[in-house]
Amino acid sequence: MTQQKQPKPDKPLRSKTAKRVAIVLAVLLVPALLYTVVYPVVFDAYTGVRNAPLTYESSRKLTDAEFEQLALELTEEDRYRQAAAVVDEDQDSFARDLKIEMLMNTRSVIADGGYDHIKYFRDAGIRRYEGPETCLQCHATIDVTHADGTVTTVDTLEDIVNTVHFKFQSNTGGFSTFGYDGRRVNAEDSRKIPVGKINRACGIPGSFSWTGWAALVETHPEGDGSHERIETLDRTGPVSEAPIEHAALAGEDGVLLRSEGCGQCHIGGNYHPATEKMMPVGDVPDTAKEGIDCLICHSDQYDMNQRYVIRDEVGLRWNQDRSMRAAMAVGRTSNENCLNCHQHNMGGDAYVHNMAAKSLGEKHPRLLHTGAKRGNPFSPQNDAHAAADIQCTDCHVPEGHKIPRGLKGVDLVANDLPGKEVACEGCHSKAPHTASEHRAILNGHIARMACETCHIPSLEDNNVVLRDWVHPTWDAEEGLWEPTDIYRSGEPGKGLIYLWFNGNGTFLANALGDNPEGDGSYDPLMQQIAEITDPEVIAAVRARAERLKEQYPDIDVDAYVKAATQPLSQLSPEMLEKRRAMIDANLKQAMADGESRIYPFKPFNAMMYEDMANQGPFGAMILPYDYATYYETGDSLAAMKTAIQDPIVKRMYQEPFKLYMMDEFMAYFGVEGGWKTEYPIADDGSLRNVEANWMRQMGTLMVNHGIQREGHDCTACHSPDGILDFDALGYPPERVAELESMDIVEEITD
Amino acid sequence: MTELYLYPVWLRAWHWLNALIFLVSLVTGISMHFSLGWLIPFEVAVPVHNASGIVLTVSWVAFIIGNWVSGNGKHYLINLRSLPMDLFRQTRYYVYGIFVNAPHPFHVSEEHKLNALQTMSYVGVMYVLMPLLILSGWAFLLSPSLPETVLGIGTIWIVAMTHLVLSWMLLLFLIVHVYIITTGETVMTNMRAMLTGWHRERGPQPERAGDDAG
Amino acid sequence: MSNRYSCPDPSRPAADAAIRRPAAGLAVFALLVLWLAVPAVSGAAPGDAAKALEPAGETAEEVPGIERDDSPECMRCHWMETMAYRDRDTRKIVDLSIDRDVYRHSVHADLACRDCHARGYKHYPHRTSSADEALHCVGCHAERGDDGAPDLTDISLEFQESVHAIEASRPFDCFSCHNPHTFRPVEDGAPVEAVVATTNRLCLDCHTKLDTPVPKGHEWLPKPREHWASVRCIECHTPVEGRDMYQPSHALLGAPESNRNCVECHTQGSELLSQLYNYRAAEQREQEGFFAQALYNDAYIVGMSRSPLIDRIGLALAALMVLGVIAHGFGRYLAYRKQRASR
Repeated sequence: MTQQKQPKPDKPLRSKTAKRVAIVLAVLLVPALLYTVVYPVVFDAYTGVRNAPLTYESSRKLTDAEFEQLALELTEEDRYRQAAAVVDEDQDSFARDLKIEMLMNTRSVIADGGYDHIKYFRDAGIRRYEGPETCLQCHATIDVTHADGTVTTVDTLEDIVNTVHFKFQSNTGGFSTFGYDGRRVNAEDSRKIPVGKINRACGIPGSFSWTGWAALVETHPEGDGSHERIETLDRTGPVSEAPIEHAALAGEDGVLLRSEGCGQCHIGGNYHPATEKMMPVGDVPDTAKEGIDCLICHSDQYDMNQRYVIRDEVGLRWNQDRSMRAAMAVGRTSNENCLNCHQHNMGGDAYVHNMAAKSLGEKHPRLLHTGAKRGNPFSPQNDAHAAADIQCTDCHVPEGHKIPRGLKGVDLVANDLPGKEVACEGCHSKAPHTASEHRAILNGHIARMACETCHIPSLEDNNVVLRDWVHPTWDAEEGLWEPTDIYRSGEPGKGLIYLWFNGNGTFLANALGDNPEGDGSYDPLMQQIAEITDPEVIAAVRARAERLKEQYPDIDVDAYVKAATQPLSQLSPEMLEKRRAMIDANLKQAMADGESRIYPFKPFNAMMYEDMANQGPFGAMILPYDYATYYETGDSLAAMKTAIQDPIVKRMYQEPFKLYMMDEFMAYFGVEGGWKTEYPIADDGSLRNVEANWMRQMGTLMVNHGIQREGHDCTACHSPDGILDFDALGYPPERVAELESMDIVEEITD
Repeated sequence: MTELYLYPVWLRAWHWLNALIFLVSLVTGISMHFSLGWLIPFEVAVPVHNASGIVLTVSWVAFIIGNWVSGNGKHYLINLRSLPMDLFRQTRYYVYGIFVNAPHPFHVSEEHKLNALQTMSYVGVMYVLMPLLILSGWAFLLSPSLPETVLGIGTIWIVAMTHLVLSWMLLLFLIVHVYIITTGETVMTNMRAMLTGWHRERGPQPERAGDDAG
Repeated sequence: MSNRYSCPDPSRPAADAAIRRPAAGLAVFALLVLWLAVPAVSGAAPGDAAKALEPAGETAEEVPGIERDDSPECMRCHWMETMAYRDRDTRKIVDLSIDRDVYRHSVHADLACRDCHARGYKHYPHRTSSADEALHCVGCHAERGDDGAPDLTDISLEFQESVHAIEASRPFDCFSCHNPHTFRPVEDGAPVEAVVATTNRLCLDCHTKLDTPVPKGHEWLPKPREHWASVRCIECHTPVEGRDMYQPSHALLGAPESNRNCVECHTQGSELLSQLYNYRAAEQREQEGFFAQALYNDAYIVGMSRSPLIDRIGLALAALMVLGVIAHGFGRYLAYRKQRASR
């Protein structure tokens, strides 16, 4: 009965039964066939994303002899490291070397040293690392321990493919994020839409991950590299590093190709982010899964010099280290692995102790972003926990490949484990201060203040507060145009502000909370994060604007400063009125929820091109940049125009995308009437609805690392001009006076 | 003289074991309920009562399975049509006939070894009271996992009172049961039957020829 | 949970449903409802009694202690609910915070801070620490009877005999267990579980190692968790003799002396009944039969909780049955004799 297996038999069937069976089979087979064969092709054609088998030059087969030689090297290096960690550093270096050598050759260190996988690979005959395929030979499944202690066995590849590290999105609420329409984002009873870095452009990368995934930028570095150094301020003062001589690296034509894009910090090695995962059905193709970079997180010897953009016949993508050397040193994730990427959003690319920045790529070196996203590094030099060798995963306890981010947070990044706590209280008791004479009163402060408020006294100086993407500046040493940082500071009150926070945030990353003993005047979305009042900051912004005017004569300095420091001034009176009404009606409850405490936040605002057809009281849809055009020409408008011609942005302005995602997206965004599909480039090639604006309020990023043992002292806050503005925090006047005067405190010596 | 083999070995073994377990449960239960330390010390009574309760459950299950497998269960089927008359006759015998030496209204046969009253009471005891008692006992044993209240009344109280009332009823049954044993043809007829398995009777209508016995 | 001891709501759906039944069942259900309602009405009393216990400061025009004198100055810091430190010797967290609302409802609500903490606290850092103050409960409670402070002399004497006084490795006083800033006697009518939990918490706060599924030294006790949920530690760990229904003994006993006799509780004249369950008036239990007990005292305790009604009916039936059987047997004997005679 072969015809029974055919969904559409061309000759009449002999019996009714056979006919019925055929129909059932057809019903089952046809959709399956459509889904597995037709859908991916249609999807790729519609979105313009491309997939192809991925190869990497570093994935090379070793001979047995080479393998053994490498094994010996790695083992010795590891033994050396173990021994060196034990031998005191403060002694004669020659004597120290000898001691290390003695120690590393003791029987116990020889027995302990080296990497487990060398033996496994030797026994299994593995002489070449081919990506996930190689790992999965043994690790096809893993046991995942959940928070409640239960253990489940999951498919390893599926587990990793469904993490934020791979797909940059989730259809959970992230943290407890509220839309400006008052609904909780992706709440239980809502229609869930994918949210995360994949579709929420924010000011600091200046792009979507679709349009800014991987770029090769032609730079024209000037000079011999001696006149400028990569220099950054440590808290102890300026620290200079060896200069990176970009000019010397450039070719004969003076051109140096640099790598840039979101893909440098994400584990997929494909030509685009995991776009397929945005749809309710469909999966990334197997070829893309084979591009996952296991070793960047799991190898002790990952070479960041292999992490640069390469161009092949299909397009641009990120290279990775698939050498046997990296593979043989595979193991559990350590802080160094995490910091390969996360130094970017913590200490910043230009942070002096950023080890990954010392290996920018053997070719097409990665661009260093000199302004820091947060500027609170997790390094032994600048964080008490890192100094105590606490591992990232000690607090961010993973469940399989899902890493928890805690219950509180206000950024736009998706969260794999929204219900899982990561908090100081996980280790520290409710009475954490033990040594000080004032320990009881210090502990008392926890009732109203987060640990971070005192114990992150400041951020790195290169922490960006205001960034102008529209008016780029020429960086001669790097030989490219870069966005102009109008104001950078890590100082409390300037680049580090203090807000009430109960764990809720808005769709555009504004911390929500309220003063539990306030007089109702605390109003962050109209005041604290919607205006800059510090005269020193305003003066600095003005000074920078004046310098910018030299280059862009059109700039009206007064208007510029006003828009940058009072972004609400860009709203029409009606819009402002509406904003007020929406805050009162939609967000008051989210602010009053739970128990608010004072947290430190890194404030951030950016000037970007916006699609004003999709504007609401809280902002308009911002438009991305094409990195290469931007860095090479400094023509921000052209860069924006190039980026929005990306097929997927065009699709965004069409009906299916609107209905599937953008209407809901806009509702959360506070834009009424749904997504307007009027594409910003008209048929004649002219732009429409496009304006350059500062976002209508500052985003607030939570800062939790860079913890110092010594926090602020009492008078840092309890004095008339302390770093906490008690009045702005909504305290009634008599309580403000009480908090500022501290007349009952006689003397505190330390 | 009739001689019927009514009680196979498994049934007799079960009966006496069950009787023993029931008695143990009863005595330990009474001891706990009335705090009669002199009867059985509380700390002994608790584990013994728990254990005997569990064994009683097993025993009950064995009885059900035994009935099913051996066909003994047919004796517990109530003939609804003849029931009123049978009950009347049987009751009249116990209340009146027995004192005037009237003949037994019911004669044991292989088909019918239980009279209507017996059937009724055994069905009631073994298929209603006993399972309820066992269930309430288990509920007691597993009380921590029960809901705290049902209709505003503490669950454990409902369970306790059910268990208690059932125990009282079964005690009453036991008294009657023990006495009724003596109402056979002779005082020992029924008792002997349950010990040997053979029911011997000088009935008016022998089903088969009497043999050398008697 | 809490409503288990409270009065049944007259609008309870079950009762409603019962009343809506057709006429045949109506009478029975009406009777049942009536039966349920009688204890319900009388059960309202404990709540009223509890209200009477409210500190006078609430109703009188007198200023609550926490707002009087320089108490507000103290509260500028001591309101902070996380104000605490970890004691270097005991490694336990010592709470220095005063919850205004809780204090206002405590027995000491009328007292201002300086009524007890006399000197040296005007400024921060304080010149005195409470450890140097030598505060004694009995001092006030013996002298100031006029203010309504109960005399604690007896308790103090009991405490002198307690294992805490005799064998404690650390200085032990009233404050080791009782926080004067929150203290408030148990209310009549409070759910038994809540009373048990609160009281046992006092013990378990220090005896942390006993807070395990099978607590050390209690292996002999069947279902320890269930026992601890419905029985206070002190039921076994205080002397059986001389118990006062309203005032638990403070003569805490060590393990060897403690009561291990199950029947002490699992019996009708139970010591447990005389103390822990004293909120349930004994006469009520006697009168209302098992429904009242079921409603008011669902902590069924084998050997202690009985339904006198059921027991009485059961015993009566059993006795009747035995008598009937004897009579029947005697009748049969007579019939047998008669028959033999006639033969």
